[in-house]
Amino acid sequence: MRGMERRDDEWTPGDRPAGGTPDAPAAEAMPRWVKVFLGIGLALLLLAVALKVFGGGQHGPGRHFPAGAAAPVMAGPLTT
Amino acid sequence: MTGGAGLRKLGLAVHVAVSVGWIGLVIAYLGLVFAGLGGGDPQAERSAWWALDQVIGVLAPFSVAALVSGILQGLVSPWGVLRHYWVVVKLVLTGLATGVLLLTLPEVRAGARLAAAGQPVELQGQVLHPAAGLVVLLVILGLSVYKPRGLTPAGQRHQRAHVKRPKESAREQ
Repeated sequence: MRGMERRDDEWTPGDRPAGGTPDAPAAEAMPRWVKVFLGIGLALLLLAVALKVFGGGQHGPGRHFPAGAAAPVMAGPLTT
Repeated sequence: MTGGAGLRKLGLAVHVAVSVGWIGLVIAYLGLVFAGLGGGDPQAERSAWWALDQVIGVLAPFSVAALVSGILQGLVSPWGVLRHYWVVVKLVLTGLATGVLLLTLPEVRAGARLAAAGQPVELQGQVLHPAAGLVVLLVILGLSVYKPRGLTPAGQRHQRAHVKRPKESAREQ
């Protein structure tokens, strides 16, 4: 019955990986979407390192402040 | 370790509330930056720095609350913390976003102090981190909704243990 079919995005934490049996569930490889995420993360990391090395290298608190300005203060309320 | 249904729902409600609040605050933060940048008015920039200091003071506890409530939610729910790739990726991204936010906090505080003292402090540098953070938070939101499949090695071990258990208990009877 079409209405009773389970959609692929409806699953629970207890679902077994495809191909396994109740006695011996199949070992599951790392899904493709995780590999894509890792690839994007690695590319962004390399980009950040490249920008730091070739793009002047200044990054961190204080880089947007005028020359000679006081060093960033860690805590304390702003009073005007 | 799994908690009762009532406790799990309460934890989920808290986690969703602080996570969605975090997204809203980042959007507000970006709105203030663009408002300050818009007219090139020094007074508007000073006001924007003051407002950013107020917003980031609320953002920081929201980010920590989202991280902590997410870990607690994983501990009390059947999803676990390290059993499913989508939960692990969420945890890593939330940890990174929280870390960057907390590292940015002193800079914003100092920028607001300098702006209040009448010194020119550029606002352009306040666009990249919150914009990237917003993208990360939307990815986290997507992972939470779609829950893509994939068991980690720890999750597979946990599942094998739970499959074996009924058979072993039947043999003992």
